[in-house]
Amino acid sequence: MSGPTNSRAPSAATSSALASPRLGGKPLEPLDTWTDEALFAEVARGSEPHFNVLYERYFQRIYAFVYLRIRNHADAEELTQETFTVVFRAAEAWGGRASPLAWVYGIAKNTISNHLRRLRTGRERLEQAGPNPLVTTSPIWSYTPEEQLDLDRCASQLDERLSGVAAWQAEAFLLRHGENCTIPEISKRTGRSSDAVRSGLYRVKKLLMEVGVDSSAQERPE
Amino acid sequence: MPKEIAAEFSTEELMEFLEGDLHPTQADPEFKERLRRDLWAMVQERYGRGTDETEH
Repeated sequence: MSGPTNSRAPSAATSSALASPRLGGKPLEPLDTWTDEALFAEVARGSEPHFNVLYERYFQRIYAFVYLRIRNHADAEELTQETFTVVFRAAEAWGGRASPLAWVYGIAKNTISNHLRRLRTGRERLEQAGPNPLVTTSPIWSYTPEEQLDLDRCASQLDERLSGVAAWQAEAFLLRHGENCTIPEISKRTGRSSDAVRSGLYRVKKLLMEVGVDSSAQERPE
Repeated sequence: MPKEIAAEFSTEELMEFLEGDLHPTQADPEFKERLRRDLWAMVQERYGRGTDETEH
């Protein structure tokens, strides 16, 4: 079973494939009526139109399935990407043992489970660390004086870097990762274009990553 | 009587998955297109360009 036919209009990339005749001059069925199995087979032969139809067919269902369980757009994007990457990397390993629908569903479900497990592990560690996770006496999650010094230095650099970020960019970052807002929502609330929001988020993320790199560099003597 | 589509998952589970097609939650269109491009690049690298005569 490949599921109901996608009722949305096909993208421009697939329109030509929908109308074009194939081998022997005999027109075949539009691609959006093809089974998942047949589409996967053509993708493995390197056909972009077939890939586009499969992607279009599964994108909304995977994204919605993930979002309903995670309730966070940023994470939903990441997990959707992870699911699709596994699907298309392992397409040749699918082997027709189950319906493609069940196979893709299984991958999405496992991706979500792994994510939730990582979150739980992170929360448990924070709980064990106590009210101030940067300073703890827990035997499970404790720091040497040198490590504590590094953490304090890292926190200080973080504050310093973020003070150089425009207020609206910091707000966008909090809206995205703290309140789970989409790019269009952030754009509306900050009065900035979607492109500006994306650039701003990227800049803040880069700054935060640079803090991590700087901290590592300071640890290692030349 | 609903039939099992695959031994591992029930029909109800798979129907829930399919209902995502109609769910109002929409992803960022730019993310969707960026992901499509990245995935296609990965597929091309993995499976190579096809010799499908429909490609044009």
